[in-house]
This record gives sequence, C-alpha cells and structure tokens, in this order.
Amino acid sequence: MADITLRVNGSERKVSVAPDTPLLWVLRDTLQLTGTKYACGAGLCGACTVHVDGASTRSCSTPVSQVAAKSITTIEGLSPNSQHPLQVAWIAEEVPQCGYCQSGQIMAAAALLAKTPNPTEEQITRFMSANLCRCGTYERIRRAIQRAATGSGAR
Amino acid sequence: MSPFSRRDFLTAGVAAGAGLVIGFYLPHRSRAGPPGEAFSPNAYLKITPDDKVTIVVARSEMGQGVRTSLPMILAEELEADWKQIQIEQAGASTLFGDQTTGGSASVRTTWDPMRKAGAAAREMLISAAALEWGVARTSCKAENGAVLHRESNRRATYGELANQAANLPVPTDVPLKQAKDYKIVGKPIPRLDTPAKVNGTAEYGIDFRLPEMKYAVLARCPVIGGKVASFDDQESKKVAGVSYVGKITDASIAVVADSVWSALEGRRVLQISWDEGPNRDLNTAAIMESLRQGALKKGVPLYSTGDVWKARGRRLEAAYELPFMAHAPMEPGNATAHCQGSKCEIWAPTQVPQDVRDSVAQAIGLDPDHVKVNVQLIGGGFGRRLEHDYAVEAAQVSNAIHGPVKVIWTREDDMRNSMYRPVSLHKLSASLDASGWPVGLTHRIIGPSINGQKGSPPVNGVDGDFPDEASFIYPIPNVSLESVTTETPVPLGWMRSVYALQMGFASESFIDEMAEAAKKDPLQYRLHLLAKDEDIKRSKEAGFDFHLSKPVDFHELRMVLTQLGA
Repeated sequence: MADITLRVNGSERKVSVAPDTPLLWVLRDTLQLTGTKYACGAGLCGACTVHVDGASTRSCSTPVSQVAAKSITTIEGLSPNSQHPLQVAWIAEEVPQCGYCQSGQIMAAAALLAKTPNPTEEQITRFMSANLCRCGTYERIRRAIQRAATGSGAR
Repeated sequence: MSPFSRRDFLTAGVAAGAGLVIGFYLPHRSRAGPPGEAFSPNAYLKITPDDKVTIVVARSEMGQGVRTSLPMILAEELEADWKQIQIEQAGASTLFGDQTTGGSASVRTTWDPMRKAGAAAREMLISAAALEWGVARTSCKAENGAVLHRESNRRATYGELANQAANLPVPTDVPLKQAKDYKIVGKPIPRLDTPAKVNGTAEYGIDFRLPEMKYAVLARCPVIGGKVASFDDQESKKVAGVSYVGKITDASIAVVADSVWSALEGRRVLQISWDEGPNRDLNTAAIMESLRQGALKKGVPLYSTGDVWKARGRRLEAAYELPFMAHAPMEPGNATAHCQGSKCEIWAPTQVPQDVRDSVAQAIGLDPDHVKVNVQLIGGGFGRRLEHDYAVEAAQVSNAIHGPVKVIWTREDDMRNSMYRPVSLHKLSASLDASGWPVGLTHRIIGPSINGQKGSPPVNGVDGDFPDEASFIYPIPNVSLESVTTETPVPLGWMRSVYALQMGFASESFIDEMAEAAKKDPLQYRLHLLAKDEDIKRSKEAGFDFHLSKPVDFHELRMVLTQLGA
C-alpha cells in the first residue's frame, strides 16, 4: 500500500492503495466516481476513458502510481454543470441507448475536439474507432461530435 | 409472514413520495389471476399533492427506452402534463404479471394495462373534481395534468384532486382515447434518462453500492461440468484488502475484498486443483464434427413447398459453420446481495427479476417471499441478463460472509462462462435454371436446441422458437427447410433474434453464392427473386404467413433493398 495524492477534477484527493492498482478502480471504488466504466480491463474498448493532463487515457490499464503528479479529469468533472458542448450535443442527438459506453465516448470526443476543433468526418471516425458501443450508436456519436464542433448547440 | 409484504411495498411507495401524503394508489386489474387469487393488479400510478405524477415501470431498461416509452402510454390516457412525470422502477413483484424483458415485447405486453391504468385514473380525477364542484362529470374535462370546468372557469390540478380521487372506487370499464387524439404517443419525446447518461450520474448495477459492501470475484472451473478438487488460499489471503476466500459451489471459489482490484489480485494468486470431469476433452473441433455427424441424420421439416427432389438444373451446394457466441454486453455481469438470516435483498441489472427472486430463494433455501429483488439500469442485455447466474452467485457469497457484497465478472469471465448463442451448421443446396435463377432450394440447420437444454421439450422434434425464427423470404417454387437437433454440454442462451440471425446469415450468404454462380449482381438477383403480387398471394396460400412470424411486406423489403443498393 502507498499513500498517493491525486488531482482529480480540480481537487486534491489522498488515497491509500497498492501502487499498481489501475486508476479505474481507484476512481470507482476509492473515490466513488462511478461515471468512469469498467468493461474490458485491457484497454480495448474505451469505456474507462479519462483525461490525464488533457490526453485521452485508458484508466483500466494505467497504474495509479503513474498519474500521481498529473491532472485527471473524469466525466463528472468535464463541465461544472453538465453543459459541455458535447454533453449538450449528445442530448440533442439522443445518442445513448444503454449508455454504458457513453462516458468514455464523450471523454474521447472531448480530447479529440480539444486538439482538433473542427475534425473531418474521417478524423472523427478514425479517432473514435477505439471506443466500442455494443448498441451501435456510432452514427449518432459522429453527428453529436459534428454538432458540438460546429457550435450548433441544443436542438 | 413475508418481511416484504404487499403492505410494506405500498408503504415504501408512500415514503418514496418525499414524505408527502400519498395521493392515491391505483392497482389496475386487467385480467383474472390464478385460481384463489381473484385479480392480479399489474401496474400503478402515484399522484402526490405536489403534482408529481410517478409512473412505475415494470420492465427493465437496457437501452431500448422503456423508462420513457411505457410512461408515455400511461401519461397519454391520463392526460398528464409530461413535464410532471417521474418514473419509478419496479422490482420483482406479484403486481405486474410476468416482468420478463425480452423478445422486443415490452410495449406490446404493457400497452393495454398501461392505457387502462391511465384512463381509470383520469376518470377518477374527473369524478373527484365534479363531486368537489357539485357539477355534472360530463361537463368536466381532463387536460394537461388538471381537470377543467369551462362554464364556471374552474380548474383543479391532479395534485389538488389526488386525495379525493383516492377515496373513489376504481372504475373497471373506462373509455380509451382514439389514436387521432394522441398528444404524447407517437410523438418524438426525448428519453427521460439521457441527461444522466451523459454526465456520469446514471447508476448501473455495477455502480450501486451499500454501506460496508465488499466486492467479490469467483474462480470458476475452466472446464464445463468440472469441480474444485482442492485449493490453497495462503497467497490470496496475503493480498491487502482480501477478507474471505471460500468455496461457493462445487465448481467455484469466491475471493472477497474491499475493492475489485484486491479481489482480482487475490484470485490471481489462488492455487486451485480442478477435477475437470466428463468434458475434459471437449473442444471446438469435436463439437463441429458432431454437427457434421448430425447432418447425416434425417431432419424434421420446418417448411416445404413444391417438391425439391423434382427440381432440375445446375446444382450448387454450400455449408456454413457458425460458432458459439457470448452476448458481451458492455456492462459485465454483476449483482449485489445482502442476505440476513431468513431474508435476502438483491440489486441486479436483470431482464428477469422474478426468476432472480425464485432462483436465489432456491439456491440459498429461502421462501421466495423473503427475497426482495431491485431492478437496476442495465448496461446492455442482448439476452445475457435473461439468466439469473450473477444474482445467485451474489446471494451465495453474501450468505457465506454474512454481509453485503457485489459480485463482478471480468470480461474474461464473461467470455468463458456465458450461456452462448448455439453453434450451428447450415447445409444448403440449390438447383439453378439455365438463366441462373433457383428452381429448388434446401436448407438444413444442424445444431443444439436452447429450449431443449433449458428443459422445454421440442415441439414435433423442433425447438419451439424455430417456426417463428427460421424465416425464408424468397418465393422459390420448390423449397425444403429442415432441422436436426444435436446435443451439447455447453450452456446455451437466447441472444438477440435467437435463431433468425444464424438462419439469415446462412441463407443470405448462399443467395450471394447463387448470384455469383449466375454471374449476376447480388442486389439485382434478390430484387428479381422477391415476390410479385401473384407470388405474395401464392406464398400466403402456401402457408408463408405462419412461417414468417413477422410477415414481410415484400414491397417494403424491395424498397429497403433498393435504397441500400443505391
């Protein structure tokens, strides 16, 4: 066990966990931030996507000791009032079905738009192809990202 | 006496109304229950004086939208103000009939009860207003969450009328609205649960937690039907956070810890010696070989028209092998249980709350009335959560550790221990005329039966789902569809569309091969084969309507195919 100080959604959080614990389980079990999802545990599906210093990161395969000095953002901290342009667009396009993968989809999309504010359809498809949706909401995800990128806002 | 009697259930409903006096409770009775139990109420609605209208959803939400669509049906008849609607998820109950969520049937099976419940409440609210104002009820009208009396310009909200309405008898025969008057049903209404799904607050089964709750993972025998011979938990118990390691069934050992990661680490170092049992040599090659052997057997006819043996022409043959397939919902298997002596409470993302209740009761030796099942938001079902295994495991572990616990499956656990879509072999043959069009087609499906394995005997030698799902849409003059049922020890389960997906894959792949052999474009080939008016008439006369559980409108199908090809 090790005492580690994390910076999560702008706040310092002290945790006492084994240093090789994946960030995912620290977020979910220790800090009770359950918006970040477990689905494959092997960095294959993207449901656990968070931002580490702004970069899209698979929290299920990132040991917590690696992110101690870094700034972590989860879906809960993406915006103070759930009004991030992607969240507004996700509602406008009625993207989610079961919804389980959508925290990861939105976090991945936010990382994309932060670097590429006006992505082409091809760029969206390529970047988002690492995030799986078992319900198959891919078309609506792409439309929502385009809506957010063009500032079209709510419907 | 059940610790969760119906009275408790209702009281809990009142408490859930934010401490306000309950307005009224409407048990709706639409059909007679089993003998000795005159009526079985199957839906309810709660209206509180603060104008909150709570509609109970007695199906499981797994992305198909029932937490919005079912309330829409009731709200329509109620003439409710949609903005005031709140929803409450029903757990396993005796109030709602069969609560299984599957077969794309939630709207179809709740349409009538939800409409009648809403209409009965509307009529009671109108009566309450008429009595209050001393006017004829025919001069009152329900609209947008209130009752109006135009002549005296009076208006009372449903909340204001709730207490009086609660004292009135529930009408049995109520008028239902005409479709042309619908304001909610058939309109594009945003899903009520979308905002929570985009900001991380939606609580799925895997997210739910209880105070003092532990997490458990199970080590299960890697061979189907095998057992634990012995195990050594010394290393597991050294992992920080691990509080319990123990045999849960003959074939599984639970590792319990205060976090998922500690439980996984504890399981990783657990030493187990397995008695692999009768299936130690079972493998994919042997299973596929058993299907090829099955193909030599006489099949049971599913459908036939004309006489395929008389069809002459160029012969084309193909075989397609489809593997076992796990449902792999994004949210892995999980359930939370808290067993305390003679009662047990379960929180499960399940498609079958009542089966969970009964199976848990049986597994740990309780009266089903002492098992309370809470239904949670499901991160993908696809049929996997028609099985009760996660919940039974959670109850068994909770029973063993005498405390609350959440059992979690890893993705690897899910792939290795699913109730799989069955493996199948499809043997097809066709006779093509000189122009390459089929004059005869045979399709034999060889594989194990899901219903057979689960204890429902085949109907006339065929899995009961086959006549519904083994559809064939091309009106070829001579057709024979046959099924050969084989056995397998691999656990089987219903996965989306069940047999239709396998049948469609094989028959459509074969149509492609026929088009290839005929040197024709596969889309044009299909469009040519699809029925003309005369064929539709002939196929109906030949019994195609029975054969196609969801009758195909050939004109629509042709349109879809043309659009896809465009």
